[in-house]
Amino acid sequence: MNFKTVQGEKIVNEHKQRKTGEIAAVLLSVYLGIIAMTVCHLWSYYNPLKANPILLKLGSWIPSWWGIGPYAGKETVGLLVWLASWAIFHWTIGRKEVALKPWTIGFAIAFVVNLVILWPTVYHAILWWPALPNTLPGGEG
Amino acid sequence: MKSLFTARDFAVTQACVAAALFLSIPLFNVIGFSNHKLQAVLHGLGATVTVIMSCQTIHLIYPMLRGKIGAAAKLEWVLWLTNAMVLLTIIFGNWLYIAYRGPDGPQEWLMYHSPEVHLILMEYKEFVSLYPLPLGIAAGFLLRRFRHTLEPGSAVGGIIALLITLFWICLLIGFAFGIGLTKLRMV
Repeated sequence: MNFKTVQGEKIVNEHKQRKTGEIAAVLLSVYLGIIAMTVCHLWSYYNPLKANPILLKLGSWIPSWWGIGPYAGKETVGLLVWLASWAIFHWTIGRKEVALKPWTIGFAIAFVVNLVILWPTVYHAILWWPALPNTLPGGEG
Repeated sequence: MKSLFTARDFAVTQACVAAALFLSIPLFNVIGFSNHKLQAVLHGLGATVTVIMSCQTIHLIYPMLRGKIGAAAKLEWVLWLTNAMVLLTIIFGNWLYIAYRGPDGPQEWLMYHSPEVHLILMEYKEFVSLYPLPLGIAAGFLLRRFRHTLEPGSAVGGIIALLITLFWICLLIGFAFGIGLTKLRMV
């Protein structure tokens, strides 16, 4: 910490106080990146014929994207949404003072809700379970 | 007679032995049955080092919250190093994932023999393990911007601690699920 002593008595903080909006921008952008990835994952499960070619194309900047599959696209969307929304919010919300309590509580709750939605037994129970290879019609199972 | 050893000696001994033995777990793969040893060992070593470093990071938030001089700067430094390891381990994880979902790979095998392992454990772990990257970078950024004006008990310090705690929890989810998966089926 850089404190400057003035006349041996008073301690003055050299650093200016940043706006609390910067913290809100950080929390919101991290959450948006995470939820964008969850939405892409659920979309890819709900409508793979439509979603997977788009996700593959989005992920094709990653080496060996063809081996990683639609997951490469989901990672790309999360990365882009996180960084782009951070840049936007940093220059908008980041210039204001905000109340940190609702932002903190909102972020914590939204983060845990995402962890619950993403747990596969939850979204498979809401949507459906995939056809398993040994239970296909005409199979032995 | 005074004790031959200080508290620090015991703590350092325990930390060194723990680190060496934990690192040996992924290294057993070198003499194991993996078909993709390089990717497997690198991802395992990266994850182990990351988790050990993240434990040090989470312990450094306590002096930061109490407002100890210099604690926030030290926390920030260790956090950025851990963030670098998180990114590296994610890259190794993607590399290993190619073999995981390849023809005759573990994904296919598990879907026939025990689909829950892939459908629940792997499908969860592959996303939650990515969360530490934005969480850690967010906490590092906030430390950089606010550490000079941090006060004990401030809301900013609490939010940084919250981000680092979630960072650590998500790393541990990825680590425990990853070890569990390799116990059930090796890539």
